[in-house]
Amino acid sequence: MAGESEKYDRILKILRKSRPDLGETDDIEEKVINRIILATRKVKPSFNILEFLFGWVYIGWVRTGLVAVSVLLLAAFGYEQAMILKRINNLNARTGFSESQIISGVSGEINDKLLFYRITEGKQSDKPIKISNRQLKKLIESINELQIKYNDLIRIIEENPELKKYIDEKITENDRKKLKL
Amino acid sequence: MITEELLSGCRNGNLQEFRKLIGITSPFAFSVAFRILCDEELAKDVVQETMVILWKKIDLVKSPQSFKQWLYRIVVNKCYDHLREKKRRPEFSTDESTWAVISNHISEEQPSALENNETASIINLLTDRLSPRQKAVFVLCDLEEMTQEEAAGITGMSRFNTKANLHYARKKISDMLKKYIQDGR
Repeated sequence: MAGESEKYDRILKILRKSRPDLGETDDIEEKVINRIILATRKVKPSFNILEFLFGWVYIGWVRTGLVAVSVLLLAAFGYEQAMILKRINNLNARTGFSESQIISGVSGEINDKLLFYRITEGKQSDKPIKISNRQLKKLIESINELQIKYNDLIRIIEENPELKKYIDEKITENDRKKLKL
Repeated sequence: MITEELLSGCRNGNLQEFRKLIGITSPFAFSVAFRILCDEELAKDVVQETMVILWKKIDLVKSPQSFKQWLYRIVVNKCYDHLREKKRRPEFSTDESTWAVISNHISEEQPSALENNETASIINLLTDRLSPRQKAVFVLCDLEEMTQEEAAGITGMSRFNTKANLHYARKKISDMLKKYIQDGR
C-alpha cells in the first residue's frame, strides 16, 4: 500500500483532474437574466400599476385615451376636493367671526337674536337658540357692564342740570321729527 | 478572459455583455461551489445568487485583476451560508462503497476523471469532518490550486489562520485515508 502522503497526493490528483462539469451555461444565463429583469421591474411600481390597470387593452391609442381620461378624472376629483375644503375653511372663519362679534358686544345677527330672546323671555322666538356656556357668560357680563355704564350715564345727567336740559330738548326734538314722519 | 471593456459594458447596464461575463465566470464559480458543497443543484443556486450579486455590485469591481478574487469571495460566503444550514441537519454516515471507490482509484495507474456525482461523494466523505473554513481553504488551495495568500484574500482570514486551517484539513483527511484505506479496502 502506498504511503499516507502518496495516497493523499493521488486522491488530490484525481479530484483535480475531475473538475466539476457545469455543462451548458445557457440555462444559468437565462435564469440570472430573468432574475435581474424581475428585480428591475420591481423598482418601477408605477409602470406596473399602469400595466395592471390598462394592460388588457391591446389597441395603443385606446389605452392612451383611457390613461388620459383617468388622469383628467383624477385631476377633476382633486380640484373638487380642494374647493370643498376651501369652502369648509371659509365657513369655519365665518363662525369664528360671529363668535368674536358676540363676545365683543358688537351688533350682529346672532347677537340681536340673543338679545331679542332675552327681552321676550323666549316667548317670541320660533326656533330655540343654542349657545355655549362660555358665550352665555360673556353675554351676561356684557349686559352687566352695559347696565353699569347706563347707571353711570344717568347719574352724570342727574348731576348736571344743563346737560339734562340739553338732552330733554333733543329728545323732544326727536319726538317731533317722529310725529312729522 | 475578463477585460476592462467587458466590465465597463456591464457597469453601463449592458445585459449582453453581462451574459458574456456569466459564460466566462460561471464554470469557475460552479467548480468552487460544487467542491465545497458537494451538491450540484445547490452549487448551481449559489452560482445564480453570485451572478445576481455581481450584477448589482459590479460598480465595486475596480479592475479585471481584482475581479476573480472578488467573485470567489462572494461564492465562498454563499457556500458558508449553505454549510451552516447543512450543519443544522447533519447527514454524515460512513459510506463503505465510496471508500471502496476511492481505494480503487488510488490503486489505478492512470486514474480517469470522475463524474460529478462521484466527485461529490468522495469530497463529501473526505471533508465531512472539516469545519466550513477548513473545507473552504482545502478546496481553494488543494483542489483549485490557489496560493495560501489568494485563499486568505478570498476567505477573509489571516495568512496564519489560512495556513493553520489548511494544515488541520490535510491532517484530518490523511487520518481518514489511513483509517479507511489501510483496512484492506
